[in-house]
Amino acid sequence: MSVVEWTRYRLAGAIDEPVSLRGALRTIGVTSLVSVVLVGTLFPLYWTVNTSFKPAAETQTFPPTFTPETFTIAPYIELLTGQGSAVLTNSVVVSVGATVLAMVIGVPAGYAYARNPGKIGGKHLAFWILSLRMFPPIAPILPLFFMFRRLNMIDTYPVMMILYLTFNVPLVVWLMRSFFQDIPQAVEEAAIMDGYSRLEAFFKVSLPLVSPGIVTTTLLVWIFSWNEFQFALVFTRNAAQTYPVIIPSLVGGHATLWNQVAALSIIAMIPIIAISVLMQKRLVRGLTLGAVKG
Amino acid sequence: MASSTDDAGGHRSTGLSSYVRNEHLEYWFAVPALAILLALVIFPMIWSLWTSFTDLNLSIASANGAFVGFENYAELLANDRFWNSIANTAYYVGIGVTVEFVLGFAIALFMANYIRGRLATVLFTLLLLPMMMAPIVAGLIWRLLFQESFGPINYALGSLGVGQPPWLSDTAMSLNSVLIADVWQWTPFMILILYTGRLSISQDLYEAAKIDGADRWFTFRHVTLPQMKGVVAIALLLRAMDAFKFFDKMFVMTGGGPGTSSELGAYYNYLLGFSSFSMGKATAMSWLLLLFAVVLANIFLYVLEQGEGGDRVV
Repeated sequence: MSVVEWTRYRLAGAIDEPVSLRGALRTIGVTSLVSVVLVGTLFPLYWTVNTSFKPAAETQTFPPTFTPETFTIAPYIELLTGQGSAVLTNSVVVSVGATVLAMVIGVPAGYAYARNPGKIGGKHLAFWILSLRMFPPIAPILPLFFMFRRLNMIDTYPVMMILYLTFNVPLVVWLMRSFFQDIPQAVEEAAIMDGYSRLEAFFKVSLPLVSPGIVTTTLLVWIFSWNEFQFALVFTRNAAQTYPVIIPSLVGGHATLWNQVAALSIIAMIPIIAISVLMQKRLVRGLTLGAVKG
Repeated sequence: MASSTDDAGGHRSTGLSSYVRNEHLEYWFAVPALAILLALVIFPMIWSLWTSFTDLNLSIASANGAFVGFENYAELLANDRFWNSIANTAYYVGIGVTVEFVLGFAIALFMANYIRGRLATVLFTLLLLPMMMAPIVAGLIWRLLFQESFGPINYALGSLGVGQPPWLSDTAMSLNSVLIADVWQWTPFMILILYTGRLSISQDLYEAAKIDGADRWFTFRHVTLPQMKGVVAIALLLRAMDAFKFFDKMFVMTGGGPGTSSELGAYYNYLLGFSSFSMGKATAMSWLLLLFAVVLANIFLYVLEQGEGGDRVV
């Protein structure tokens, strides 16, 4: 009996009615395609987890071990008692600070462009703000480096938070603009009729209404700041070094601490995965800059 | 402007005059963002445009910023290493984004057509996981996977008797190996955008096509594609821009080597500034890169608009 026939009979038995050969073939095709794609996607992630629980010596053995021969959580402990805790703390401070700053500056601007773009440069200026995000960062990086070096601000928390504004503010303005556009202006007008000022109407009516959008935007901005590498590579040395910057040094030079690289990666990924699973649909809109109303 | 109170979403306002009267609110709300962007992006870029016409080099005391005209640009355009990095970037962006798009589109449509319910949610979540890794981490993990002597990929290939390709130490393969890691990480981004875009097309359109007796290809060509035009444009543009400006993966996987076989433009630019400290040349190169990016993005959007009867896409 061939595999195809076997599947056909199995399926027929399972759902208690005859299944066409075509249907059986399709089931096999779909299943195998999905498996190939899934294995390709998940294997590198599995290898990261696998490596993070090995002692350093076992990460470079031949043949490679597909499950840890000596299972250990030492890489995590060594990392967190070593430089890992410092860089993770830096990453938390920088990414949270950068996110708060970008939201405080960007949300009101997004509101302004949603309500009255004509007063502040119109749609073209709004689109120009978005396009800043797409430009290669190398053009402004060099001059900014000199500017901040003259101010003695290299390798400090504030400089990183300020630098991340260059790509975070355009994202916040553009996203919040699309979220505010979904709130009818009439809601604010009704509040004004009831005696609110425009500023009060913004803070007490529109802002609460748009809070799901604020949550989404905050998370996206945070993820981008958390994983950023190129600015951090140029502008930090030690005191403000974020976690992506030390990762290459763990396997460069004399050290080959692949297990600690893997452990640090897993620690850094956990919050992002948790958030993404919880907010999957909302994140889509952010990643597509509002092109898909997710 | 004063008489028109339509907001951008097209909602007709009730014509409440006090709403319009507080017209300074927009200024105060927008000015901080505009000022920050002006200070952090526009002024530095003007400075870098000026520097690109000088001989400023931080490692040579005599090269203190005298005006040299187009010398930096001319030197770059006559430099093989510059053109090598540009060619590598073009290959990396062109092949990478194309493969990611084709794979991502195929998987997205496949999922939308064949997979339903809970399974779809679980699968979608699993497929998106690579995106959550920092690109630099993804690069390092792939370097480990590609390890010639003890990496799992060569171990598997070796036991199948295929041999052990020198993934990262061969000049012909190094950039392709970085590309594989890039495709692994960012195909999910394409799936995310295209799958969501496909699901937001009204099911009525497909039922109408079915009633009219349209076959699968016809439905794809005349329902799915036109409906997804804008989403496809955004996906391609965002991916191309990111592939163009980031060098994280290449940095940790090959460092541009062996030799300069996998050196990307953004990385060569970084080296000019922070390794050889010739600021004049580095700023000139970032302007050339910027020029390439802007020209290519505009050609892309123009072609897309022409191909679809001249509608605005983005």
